[in-house]
Amino acid sequence: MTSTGRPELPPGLLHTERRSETTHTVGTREEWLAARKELLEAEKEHMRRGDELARWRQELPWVPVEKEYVFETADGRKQGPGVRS
Amino acid sequence: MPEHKVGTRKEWQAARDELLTKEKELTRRNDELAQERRELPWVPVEKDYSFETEDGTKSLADLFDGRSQLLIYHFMFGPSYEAGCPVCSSIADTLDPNAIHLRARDVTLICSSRAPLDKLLAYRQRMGWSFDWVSTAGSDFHRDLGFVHTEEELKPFLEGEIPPTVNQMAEACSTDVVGYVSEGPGLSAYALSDGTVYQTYVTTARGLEPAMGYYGLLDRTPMGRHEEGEQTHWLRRHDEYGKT
Repeated sequence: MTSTGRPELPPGLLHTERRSETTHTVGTREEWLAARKELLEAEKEHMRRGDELARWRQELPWVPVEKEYVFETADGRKQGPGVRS
Repeated sequence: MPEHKVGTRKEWQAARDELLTKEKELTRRNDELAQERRELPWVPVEKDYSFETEDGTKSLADLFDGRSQLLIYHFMFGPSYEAGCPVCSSIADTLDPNAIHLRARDVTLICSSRAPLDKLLAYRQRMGWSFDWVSTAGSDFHRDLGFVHTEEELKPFLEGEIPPTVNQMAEACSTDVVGYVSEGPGLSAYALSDGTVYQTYVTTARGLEPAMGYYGLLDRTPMGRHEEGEQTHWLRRHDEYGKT
């Protein structure tokens, strides 16, 4: 990704989860089940949307990596396949 | 490798930026759903369940282990199994190292199964896990949550064509298909408040994917999960890859 000049912090450091204070209600099993079923539909929809985005990721163009990067590994120096001897 | 487009870095960046917007929408929607989960009514658990644990017989309230929240993974390891379900085992691989982080947030994470405790503990040792694993022994805990099915209830499934992956998993657990599918996987959440245990959330099926760390990672690889059309399940217990 292109640099924006802002550091990329690990998730959670800025407490980005938008959480409002929850005051819970106590209910019967039937009330819970009715609310749970409604939420389940929303969860399934969200899951399908996640699947769509996974497919979308796989459709991104592949970009050839043309620069030769070198890495130190437990098995010694490794570099791009283009210069493998 | 699948068919794919090759592009310039600029083309990739444009497509990636567009995808990023959608990914952010999905993340925000995920936050909303988490909020909705927390807004579900709490249901007091009125039945007295007992569990066999390494420290003797315990109640559901005891399983909180001094914390106010409890997450239970219902691990498919029925009385007839000789080894735990491989898919549940992969889930336990994700759960185990996370238990310590959850404890720091006042959450106790454990697994429960219907097999006798000695079988569970021997298998836990084989797999190298350290979470608390309890046996529901004779109690109806899993049944009441909908994670145990009788042969009678399973009849329509058993009389149909059994998917090869189900046969594969039953065999991997050294049980038969009925024994294998009598158990169901699930995750349930509880709160302990003023001495009362409340059930707050229950999920199963793909609702368990957050506990399958490899799926989220595969969804970010070029080939993805690519499970469509496969006759056998690719997943193995972590100590069984490379075995024939």
